Amino acid sequence: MARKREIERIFMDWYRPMCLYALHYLGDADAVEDVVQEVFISLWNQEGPINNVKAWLHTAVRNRCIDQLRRDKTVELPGPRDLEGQLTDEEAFDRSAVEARLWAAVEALPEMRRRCLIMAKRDGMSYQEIADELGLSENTVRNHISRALETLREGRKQMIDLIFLFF
Amino acid sequence: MSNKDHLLNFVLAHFRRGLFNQQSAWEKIAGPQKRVIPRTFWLIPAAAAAVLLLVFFRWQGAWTEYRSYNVPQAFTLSDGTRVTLAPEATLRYQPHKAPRKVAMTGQVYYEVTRDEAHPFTISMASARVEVLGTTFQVCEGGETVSVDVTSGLVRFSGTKGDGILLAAGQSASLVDEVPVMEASALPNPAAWATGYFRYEATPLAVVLEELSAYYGVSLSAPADGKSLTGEFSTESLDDILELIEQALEVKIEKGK
Repeated sequence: MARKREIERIFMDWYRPMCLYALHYLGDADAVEDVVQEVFISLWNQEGPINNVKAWLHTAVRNRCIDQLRRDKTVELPGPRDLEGQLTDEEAFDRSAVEARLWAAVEALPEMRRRCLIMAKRDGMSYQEIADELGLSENTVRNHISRALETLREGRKQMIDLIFLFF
Repeated sequence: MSNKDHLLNFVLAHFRRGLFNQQSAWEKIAGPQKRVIPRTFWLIPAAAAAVLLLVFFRWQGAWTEYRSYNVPQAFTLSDGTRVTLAPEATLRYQPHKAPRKVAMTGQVYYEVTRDEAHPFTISMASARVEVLGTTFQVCEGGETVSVDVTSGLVRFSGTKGDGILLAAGQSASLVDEVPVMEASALPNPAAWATGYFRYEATPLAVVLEELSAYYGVSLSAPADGKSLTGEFSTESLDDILELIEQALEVKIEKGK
């Protein structure tokens, strides 16, 4: 089944970027995965070739997100939750690939560095609170976080240069 | 520089290990089969009635059973899942011992809360449905068992084999004990439970067919290739018809 293998390849490359793209609209991880999986299923069922997979996927995901937001009636104008109004479509499409690589880079961090970083940035804990929670000194926590950020920022710089070169 | 930090901050603010994992998501999706068979629409008449709640106590495995009479009735299970029973349906489960395993008869609409660690399963005599968190309806009794998915993903199997995966807008029925995907005859098979009709570039003829079946009133309009996009609550047919007439500049005839 050549088609299945082709879809699988596209899926492995684009699943996570599309989830992050949808997350800007929906803000809820479960809803995001449902939407993205549905889009890939409809890609699978699509007859005929698709010229620009990246654009097709982003457009399909965005449309479903907007439908979902309209259905939930929690926003008056369907739209993403952050500064996307200032980005062109192209920029927003590129951004999803960068975010996906950043996500993978966070996953790849050494455990303590990742945990400290997430507790600080996602959970809003102070260095002291993190230190108490993990049984470390505040200095060690600070160290872990700055090393983690260094890794991520350095890697990201390379990623972004690379992405703008090839896309 | 600040734009790029924005991306990192966004990722960090939402990060969870194992989330958005393409390997496990692919395993969930790979492998459906298809054939197309039309299915008849089930009409639920509306009338007033009461609902009976039966509770059987048996050591720690206390069972709760819900039953509906002649109107649809909704309940919330111990895990937060909401079930809407069509008339004459039943559902039973053990809220403490096995809160995500239910047995049902008749027709039930589910809004299952997401819990990837504990799949929600529905058992019937000849079929099984398994989901992680979605909205869909199951209809058993009569000739066959059928499942219509409103959102999310559902795995529907007969007594043997892995079954098939259904996504939003898809339906399947058992044929020779194996689930087979089919086209829903009408766009909103779960309108009786969800409380609204949703149309997306749906031909007017199909819209009227569905409304006719649902309200038991014959409706017709000149066939002009018009199509409708919109969402309507099921409360008042006259309100719906008025909105459609205005939106499409068409006159709808009401018979019977």
